[in-house]
Amino acid sequence: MQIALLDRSLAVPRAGGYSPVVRDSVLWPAMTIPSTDVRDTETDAERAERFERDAMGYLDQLYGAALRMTRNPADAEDVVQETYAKAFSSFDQFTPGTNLKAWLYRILTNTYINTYRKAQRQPKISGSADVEDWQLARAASHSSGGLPSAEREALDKLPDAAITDALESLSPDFRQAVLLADVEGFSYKEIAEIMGTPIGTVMSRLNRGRSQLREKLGDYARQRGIGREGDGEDD
Amino acid sequence: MIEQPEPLDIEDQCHLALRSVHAFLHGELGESEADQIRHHLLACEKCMDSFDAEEFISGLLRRCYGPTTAPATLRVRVSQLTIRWQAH
Repeated sequence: MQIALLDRSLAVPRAGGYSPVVRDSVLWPAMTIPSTDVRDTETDAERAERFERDAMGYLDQLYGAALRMTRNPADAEDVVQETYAKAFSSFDQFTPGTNLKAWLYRILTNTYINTYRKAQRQPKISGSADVEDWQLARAASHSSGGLPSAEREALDKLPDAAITDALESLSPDFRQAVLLADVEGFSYKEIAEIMGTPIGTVMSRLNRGRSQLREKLGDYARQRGIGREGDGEDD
Repeated sequence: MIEQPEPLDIEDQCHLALRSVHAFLHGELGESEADQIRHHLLACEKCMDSFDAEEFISGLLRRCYGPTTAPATLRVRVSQLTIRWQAH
């Protein structure tokens, strides 16, 4: 197992915001936080049971995320199984009480990247770096290049396939940021931890990804005449 | 004309609002920054429409990528990872 991947820095800081490496007793009086860590006293069997109890509940969500990454059920199963194997073998490094879901997603993301994406040799990030995010957003909304005037109405008429195709045409990093924020509902801080990037990068990927998505949906709507006045379609 | 708390012209306010649209909709902005945007949205229909469209797209994404159920075979394979330990 590649345990080196899974160091303690993966753990999300606790509410107090201190590093999980620092022992509780140093920073917190015993009355505030129990000074015992379940990991110090549990047996291997108990740890396995705790893993089963806490981590198995995320199986459906992780499988869904893996399916969106790999776009292939067999690969998704393999990524998820490998993720759980890695997570279980390094579960003693996960700090109880911190964000298990984000920790698992981080392992899932690393597993996917290391196993699948490296083989594909993805080009590094699309989009020109000299265009500011706000310019992209502005171009999408305040010019004729965006969706037709009755934009909301046009969006409402788009079939699901138009939306999934548009999302899947984004670069992997942009797509992942959008999925983690909009579908999985992670905070930007959690996404930064999962993707291993600063929050600023998360925001940039989200802004660019969503901007490209909106542009593609606009193109689709225009090509089909969706949302135009008098397009005569009832459904 | 509504009284503005900041001496920004409308163009600057649009820039500010649009560069923060996702952070705003994802609830990632601080209260004062969010208030500034809410204030602008009341005065700028174009930005309001834009925010509305972005929020709608988020909803479309959630609808298109609804809950998935992992195959039973995968559940079994993953459960087996811990069994030999629990059998101790």
